[in-house]
Amino acid sequence: MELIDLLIKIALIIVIFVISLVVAMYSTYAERKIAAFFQDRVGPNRAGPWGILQPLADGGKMFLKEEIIPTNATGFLFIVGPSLAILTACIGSAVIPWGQNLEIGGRVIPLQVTDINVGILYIFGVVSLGVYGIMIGGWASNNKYSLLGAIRAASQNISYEISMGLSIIALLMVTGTLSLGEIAKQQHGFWADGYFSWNVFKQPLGFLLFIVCAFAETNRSPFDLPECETELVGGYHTEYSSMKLGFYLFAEYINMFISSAVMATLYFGGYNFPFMDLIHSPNLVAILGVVALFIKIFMFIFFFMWVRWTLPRFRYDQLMDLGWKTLIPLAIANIVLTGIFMTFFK
Amino acid sequence: MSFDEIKELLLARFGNDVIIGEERNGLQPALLIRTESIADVCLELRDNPSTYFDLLNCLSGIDYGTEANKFGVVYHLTSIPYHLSITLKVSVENNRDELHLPAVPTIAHVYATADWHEREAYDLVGIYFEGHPDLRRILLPDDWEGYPLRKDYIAAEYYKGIKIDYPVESNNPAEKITYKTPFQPNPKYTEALKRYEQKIADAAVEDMVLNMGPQHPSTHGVLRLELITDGEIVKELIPHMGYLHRCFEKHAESLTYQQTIPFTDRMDYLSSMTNAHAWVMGVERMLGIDQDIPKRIEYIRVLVSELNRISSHLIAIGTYGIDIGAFTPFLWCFRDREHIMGMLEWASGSRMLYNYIWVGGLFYDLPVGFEERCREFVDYFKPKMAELNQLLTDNQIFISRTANVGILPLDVAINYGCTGPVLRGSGLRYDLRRIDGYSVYPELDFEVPIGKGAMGTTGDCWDRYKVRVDEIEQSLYIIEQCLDRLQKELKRTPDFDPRAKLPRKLTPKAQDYYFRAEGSKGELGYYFIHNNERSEVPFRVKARGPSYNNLSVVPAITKGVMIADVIAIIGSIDFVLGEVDR
Repeated sequence: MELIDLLIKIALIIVIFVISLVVAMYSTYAERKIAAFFQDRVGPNRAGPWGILQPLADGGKMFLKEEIIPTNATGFLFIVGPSLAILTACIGSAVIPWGQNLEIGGRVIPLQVTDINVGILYIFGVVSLGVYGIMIGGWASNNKYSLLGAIRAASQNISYEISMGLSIIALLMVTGTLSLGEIAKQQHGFWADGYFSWNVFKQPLGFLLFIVCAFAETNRSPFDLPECETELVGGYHTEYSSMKLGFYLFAEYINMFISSAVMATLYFGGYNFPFMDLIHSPNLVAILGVVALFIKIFMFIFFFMWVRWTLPRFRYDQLMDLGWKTLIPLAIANIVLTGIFMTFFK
Repeated sequence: MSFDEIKELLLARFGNDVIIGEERNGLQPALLIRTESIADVCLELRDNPSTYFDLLNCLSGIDYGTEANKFGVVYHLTSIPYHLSITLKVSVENNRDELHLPAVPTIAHVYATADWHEREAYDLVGIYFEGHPDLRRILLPDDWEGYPLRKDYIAAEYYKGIKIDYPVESNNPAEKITYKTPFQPNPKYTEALKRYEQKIADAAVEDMVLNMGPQHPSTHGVLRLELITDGEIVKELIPHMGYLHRCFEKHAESLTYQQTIPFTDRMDYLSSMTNAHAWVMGVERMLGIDQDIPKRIEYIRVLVSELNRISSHLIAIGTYGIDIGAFTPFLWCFRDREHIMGMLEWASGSRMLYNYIWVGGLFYDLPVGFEERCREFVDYFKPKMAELNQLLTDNQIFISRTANVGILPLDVAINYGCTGPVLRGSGLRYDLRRIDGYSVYPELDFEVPIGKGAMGTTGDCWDRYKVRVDEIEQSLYIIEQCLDRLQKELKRTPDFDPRAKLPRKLTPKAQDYYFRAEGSKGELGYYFIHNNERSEVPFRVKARGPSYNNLSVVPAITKGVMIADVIAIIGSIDFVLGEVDR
């Protein structure tokens, strides 16, 4: 690889990293403003105009707070927990195709860090690792509430990964590839061959299953049992303070951003948008594609928040029932139906 | 069945020496029962088909003073099917030796309510209940020395290094303050404590002992629940309270009836108006002036009480939403409650602790324009309530979290002395506003909502929640009727003075009187003992907080449930720790 290619890749990685952090930061702001909107309140409005500096103030507060490591906690693992959580949250963005290739001065710049041919498996691997941060943190705290939260997180993530994987299998049958770049390319435009080109129209049930599982994987309400405040005080992060707590909270928002990006890519056409063939400049299409992807992502993030401020929380056993007795059978049925459909109608 | 018939019944059943006297001088006649037979008498009165005294309203331990050297226990029983009430009393001579407490047989096996009430009597008055299953201190710390409601109680100077007493310094050596000297309690009285400690120690080996509270987001105050759990399954729940004990009864013994009203506000601080209303009505009946109160004053009292009941139920509903994980309804409830608080502040000058209802009248008439603003609120609030129901009450996740959870059967509810929405949630149409018909409630039209098991089983958490939602609607209806009267035939006149009927001196005749009213949480009772005709200060006051009794049922209905259900159950009971601990 040429040096210039390497530099471009590094620049792209940094840009994506910064964007994920900024989006996650402003998701906290958006969450509070949206919650305020739902609850007939004003929301944060002190730091800066309309409170837009609130995330910075929060971040500064998190850094400056006293850092407490309980005497009976396992010191090393207590630090590993949040580090792992934020690490796994950040590396998921590597395989997401953010847009079509840009052409600058004859050089083709792909807006994807790496298009590995097992992109979906990579995402799954990262998501599975994500639970370790919570488990290790909850266990190392040496607190009963944290332990219960960690156990809940572990069993919840394992259960929902299965139905998530099964819902993806049906999608793979349609797309025939594991590469995210390829899947995005297949959904070109909005209408092709007499049908919608986006996968959500080919896999509506699969999408529904996937988004439910995404809520569970990101520990968002109504599946926020691992940290459920009213029962477990703070769940796995009860004992955490200062930036280590900040990392856990931040990881949740990054996860939400990444899973929104994955959902947009897999089911909602990724960077594709309707009537993109009418624009003849490839670079303009690429830039508009990035904008389109981000609009989709923000819609998903809004949906995450909308659900959180509307629905109550499940009970632990109800969550398990839903995962094992409803979602998994539905996912299997979806695979069978997809197979039948593909055999007889194509 | 009359008082005399009950007496005949007991004499026929237990022989002539079971009743050693009777008191007929006050408003409520009482039977003095032989101490050893009290448990049998209660059992007979509870199970006899012609009496069915199934509810123990209140059990009060009393120290009759240093001259008498006599201790007593007073039982107030109610028969729900026959609408009867009776007072039973027992007394024991005792020479105040701390190693030998006065002993009375327990009735905890007859009425489960008595369990906590007897613990309280043991804790504060130092009466030992023979055969009680778990006679530990309940409001004070386990190692507290002495019994504060005894008339000869001397405070220790320090408790664990914390200074208790801050007396005014005096130069007169004769007024030198003596403090209590430490003593070793009779091992007989610490047996229950040792049993409890052993149980926790054993459980810590096999199961997990989880302390929920006193600083926990869902215990609604400083309640500590000790859970013995097997993973997520709760095996046993042991409540500990007293963190908010502010000595209401001790205060009431040294303040006049009028001065105690602000203290009643601080019991159930979410519905202070109903607390003060009950207190004031009790005192007025003892003074015999309850018929002289002008109608406008009565209607204003009912109006503000019902407004306060709505605001209290709004908190119950909103915090219950949070307990289940829905955050938004909570803030909606607080938004609407804010309007009520604003109105009550306008009337009384205070947002939570009003001191508005006075003996014989009111602090002040309603401000000009209050009725109109109140009507505006009612019109504004009705659609908001419908919106809240859409968001929370009919939400499928909410229903699956609360229906068929924490089922409280009616017989258990009555036996534990549950009242208010908790009892009505179990399906009994029992509301003291209807049963006793105090104040102007007989003139008002309203329904008493009950739990019907619409989403699961009668008496589950959803039913208790739904009863509160329905009661808000009924309270709105009552408020509208009050406003109609207050704006038409009881309109304010320039010469109307809500303080015109205030008695110059609050000196009732010497008597015992138990008055009960429907607070927002249930039956709120005050037991007054007044023995000095010239004094404005009661000899003894016992407050029967509905939350205290409602909370006592929690250990019975949380066996074998999940931790998340414990939260759902204690949220549906809706207690206020200010009233539990008093």
